[in-house]
Amino acid sequence: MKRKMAGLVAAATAVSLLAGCSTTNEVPGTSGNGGTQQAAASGDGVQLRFSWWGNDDRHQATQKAIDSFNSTNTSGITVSGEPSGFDNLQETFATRYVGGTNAEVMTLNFDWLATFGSKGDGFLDLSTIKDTFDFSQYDENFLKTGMMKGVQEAIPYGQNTMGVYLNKSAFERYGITELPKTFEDYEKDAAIVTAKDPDNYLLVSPTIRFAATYYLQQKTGKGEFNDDYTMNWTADDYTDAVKWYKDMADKHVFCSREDYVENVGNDPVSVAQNEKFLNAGYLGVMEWTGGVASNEATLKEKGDTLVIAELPTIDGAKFKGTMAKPSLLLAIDKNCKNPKEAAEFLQYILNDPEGVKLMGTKRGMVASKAAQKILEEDGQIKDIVKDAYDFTGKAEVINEVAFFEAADFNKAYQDNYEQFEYGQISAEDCGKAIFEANASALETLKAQNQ
Amino acid sequence: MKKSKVGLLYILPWLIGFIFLTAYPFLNALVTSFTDYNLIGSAHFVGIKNYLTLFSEKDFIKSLNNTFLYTLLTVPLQLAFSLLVAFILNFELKGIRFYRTAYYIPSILGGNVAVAVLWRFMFQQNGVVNYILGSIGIAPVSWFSRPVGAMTIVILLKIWQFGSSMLIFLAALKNVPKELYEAADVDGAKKFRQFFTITMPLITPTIFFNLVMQLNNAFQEFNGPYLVTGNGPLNATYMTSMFIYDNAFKYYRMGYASAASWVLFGIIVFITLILFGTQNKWVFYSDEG
Repeated sequence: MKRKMAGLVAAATAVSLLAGCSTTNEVPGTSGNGGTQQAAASGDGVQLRFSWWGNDDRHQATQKAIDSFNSTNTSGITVSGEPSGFDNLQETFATRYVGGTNAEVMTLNFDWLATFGSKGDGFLDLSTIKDTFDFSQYDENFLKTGMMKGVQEAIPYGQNTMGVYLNKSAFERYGITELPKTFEDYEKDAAIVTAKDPDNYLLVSPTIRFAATYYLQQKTGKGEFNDDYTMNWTADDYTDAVKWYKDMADKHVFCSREDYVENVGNDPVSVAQNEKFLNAGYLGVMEWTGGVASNEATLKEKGDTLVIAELPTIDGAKFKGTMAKPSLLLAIDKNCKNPKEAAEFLQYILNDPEGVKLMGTKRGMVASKAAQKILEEDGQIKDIVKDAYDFTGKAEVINEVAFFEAADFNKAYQDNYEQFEYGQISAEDCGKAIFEANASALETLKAQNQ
Repeated sequence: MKKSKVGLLYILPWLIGFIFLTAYPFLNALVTSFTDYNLIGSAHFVGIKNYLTLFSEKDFIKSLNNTFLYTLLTVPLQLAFSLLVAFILNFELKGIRFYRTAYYIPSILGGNVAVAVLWRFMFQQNGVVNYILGSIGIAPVSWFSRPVGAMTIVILLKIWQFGSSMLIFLAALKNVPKELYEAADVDGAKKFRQFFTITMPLITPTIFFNLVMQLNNAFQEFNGPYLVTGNGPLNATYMTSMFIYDNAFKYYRMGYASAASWVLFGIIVFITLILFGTQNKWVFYSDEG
C-alpha cells in the first residue's frame, strides 16, 4: 500500500511539473490526437492566444475586440489576450519564441521578423491561410515588408512614419501662437521657453537615434543601412550627427541624454504616460506615428492639445523627408495547430467591420483598405489620427531595412552618445565608435541571417 | 518502505526541481560557454574564445568594477545596519513584535516593480528625498542622471532590504548567555565594552554566515539596479548579472553570456573560499572550547 501511495505521489508530482512546462493551445477536454483533430476541423473548442504591447488605451480596445470575437464567432474559437507594456519587449519575445511558449497569434517588431524569420521559416507561411484571410485589402508592395525569402511570414498592421508632435497648448502658454516649422524656429522658441522654465525641452524622443537618423537621412539622402547589410554613412557622418544633436540639446530643442535618464529612464520607451511630458516639461515628441494616439489621449486628459508639426529640414538637405517602417507585424506561430482559426481571428481584427471598429486607431495607421474605409465611415479617423493619416500620405520617406531596430544599433548610439554628452569622449571618437559598433553588428547579423 | 526511501520521497519535488531547474542549466551553461550559440541557429564549438573576448570587452570590465564596488559598499553597510537594528530590537520594549515584523517587510518586498516605481518617485527631482534635502538647505540632486547618485540609490535600496540578516542576528543575540553580561556588569564593564568583548565574539559565526550570504547575493544583484536605475548614466549601475542578461536575451549571445556567468561564478567561489580560509582567525565557535 505504502509503495503504491509513494508511486502515486511521485507520478502526480512528475506530471504536475511536466504539465507546467508544456504548451498547449487546446482547451481542456480536447487534448489527445483525436480531440485535437476534431476540434481543428470545426474550430469548436479551439483556444488561441494573442500577444501585443502598448499603453492602456490599446489594451482596452484590443480586449474589447477579443471579447467581441469570442462571443460572435460561429466556430467556437476562444482567444485570450496577452498584453504587455513597452519594457523588455524583445527579451520577452525572444525567450518565449525560443522556448516555444509564444502566443499562437503574435505581434512582432519589424526587426524580430528579420532576426527570427530571416530564412522564411520562422513563422507560419501565410499563403496557407489565403482562403480565410483577405490579402487583397493590402497593397501588394507594402505586404512584401512582411515577407522573408519570398515567404509571407507576417502582415504589417500599418505604416509607422517618424514625425514631430507638439503640445500646442503648452506653446501657447509661453505666448508662442505659431508653431515652429524650421530648426531655426525651434531654437528661437526653445529660448523663449527656457527663459521661463530652464529645465524644459521642446522635443523628447525615446532615443537620440531617431533624431540622428532623421538628420543624416536629410544630410545624405540615404537610409542608414541597405538590405545587403552594407552601410551608407561614414564615421564622419555619425560625428556630424552627434555634434548636431548635442548642439540642439544644449539649446533645449531636443532633450539631453542627461535629462532623459533623469526623467524618463535608460531605455527607449513611450513617453505617453511620462510625468514630465504630461506636465509639458517636454513640449513635443519625435516618435513613430503609431504612438501619436496614445500621446494625444494622455495629454487630452490634462486639457492639452497635441498636433502634428511640419517636418523641419536641416540646412543643405539632400532629402526633405523622414523615415518609415511597417508597424506591428502580425504573425502566426509556425507550429500552430489551428492556423485556419488563427486566420479567422486576424481577419476579424484587421478586415472585419466590427473587429476593426473595436480595435480602433490605437495602433496608428492601418494598412488594410477595408479597415481604413470602416474607420473613416465610423468617424474614428479624426483629429490627430486623421492628421497622422494625412501626414503619412504626404511625407517623403525612406523605408528602413528590417533589421534597423536591432538592439546592437540602439546600444551603439546610446552608449557612445552618452559618453560624448558627459564629456568622456570627443565627438570624433563618438562618431567613430558608433560607426565601428554598427559595422561589427552588421557583420554578425549578416552571418546569422544569411 | 525504509525510512531513507520515505525521506527521499519527501524531498522528491525539490530534487526534481533542483535537477531540472538548477543542476541541468548550471552544467548546460558550462557547455554553452564554449560555443557560439545565439538562440536562433545551431551552436558551434569555439573553445575558450568567449572567455578571452570577455576580458577585452569594456562593458564586461565596467560591469565587474561596478559589481565589486557595489559589493564592497553594500555588504559591510548592510551587515552593520542589520546588526544595529537587531541589537535595538533585542531590548524588551513595548510593541517590539510589531517592529520586528515591520523591519522585515522590505526584505519581503525586495526589488520588485512596485518598489522600483516607489524608489523612482522618492528620488526624482521633485521627490521626497530632494524635498528633505531642501528643507535642510541642500540643493536638489539629480540622482538618476549622475553616476554617483544612481549608484547611491541602488546601494540604499540594498541596505533597506536588511530584514533577513537582521532576523538571523536577532536570533544570535538572543543566544548570548545573560550571565556573561551580569558578570561583566559586576566587573564594571560599560555597555560599549560589553558589546565588543562579549557580544561580538559570540556572534562571529552568525556574522560569518551573513557575510557569505550577503556577498553571494551582492555579486549576483540584478533586480534593484535593473528595475530602478537601469544601466545608469555611463553604465554606472551596470552589474555583471545585467551584462549576462543583456547578452543572452537582448543580443542573443547565449554562449558569450554563459561564459560571463561562469566567470562570475568563479569569482564568487574564489572569494567565498578566501573567506572560509580566514575564519579560523576571527570566527569563534562555541564548541571549540
